[in-house]
Amino acid sequence: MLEPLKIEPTHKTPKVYFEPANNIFELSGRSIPEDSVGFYKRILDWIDEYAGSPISKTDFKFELEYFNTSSSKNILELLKKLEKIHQGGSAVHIYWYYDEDDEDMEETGEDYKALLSVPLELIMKVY
Amino acid sequence: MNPNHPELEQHIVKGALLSTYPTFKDMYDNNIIFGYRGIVTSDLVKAVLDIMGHRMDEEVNDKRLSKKVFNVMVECFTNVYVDEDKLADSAYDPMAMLMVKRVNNSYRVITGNQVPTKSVTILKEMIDKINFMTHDELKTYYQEVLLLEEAGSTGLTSLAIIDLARKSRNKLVYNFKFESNKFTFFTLESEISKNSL
Repeated sequence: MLEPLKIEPTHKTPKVYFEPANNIFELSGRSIPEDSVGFYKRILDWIDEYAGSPISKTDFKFELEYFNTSSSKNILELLKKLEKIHQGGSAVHIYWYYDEDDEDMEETGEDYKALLSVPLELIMKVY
Repeated sequence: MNPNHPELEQHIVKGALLSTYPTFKDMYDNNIIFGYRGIVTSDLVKAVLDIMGHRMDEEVNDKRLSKKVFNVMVECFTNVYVDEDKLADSAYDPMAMLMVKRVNNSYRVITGNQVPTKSVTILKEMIDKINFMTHDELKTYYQEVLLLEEAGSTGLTSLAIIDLARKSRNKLVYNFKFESNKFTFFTLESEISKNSL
């Protein structure tokens, strides 16, 4: 099985924790890197490799605090790759978390849901 | 304090206060709650967002409004990251401006930075087009642009401006000040009001 991908969060980049053996796939925190393409390349490359032998059901959790437009483009690329895995016969379920006061994060989740055929569930975090 | 010349020390302090006071008063009178001029990097934006996140929570009782202003700041401020590719060009001034001010029940997030003069027409047309759209039209347009395979820098700028218009739910206000054939100073203002939420 593919080695896990673990990237520690920084003040500008999200935590990345992909561990197929335990069905843990998580992208969380902030994403405002100056070079978002450079940052996300490692993640997208890992997913490409994972797509070769995915587990039977992948539960993918997005719990982002905030991110900018250049990150949103890369997140869409990541979601498209997950959609392909789902279309290939290995189930993928996306969980998109947002704060109850964050209407923008909810709308972004709705945008992705409208654009993709992979199951995407919006989950409001209530405090 | 200099024990031999205490009067000199007092004079310096008093002089500094006198020259700074009009600036402070201007910021106070105009309800400028944050202002910055300098090079904008991701480290700077991160620090500003940390400060302003707390400031907005203290300033605004409405959590939805506070979060909305914060999200607009994230988008606005990261849009004016210094363009390192242009630093070698002596005509390029990397200094940018970030500002947040309160006007009655609304907040205005303002940025200013140099953009290539050749891109002014495209930028102006882009904002004018977006300013004419309804919220639902903006949603559809955002999704269309997001899906473009090769967005490039124009696509990303377009996406960022649509995103700002959607988040603020208000028309964007802009100004271009021609500086040279190469660069023009571009200011962009997004207003977030409690009434439009």
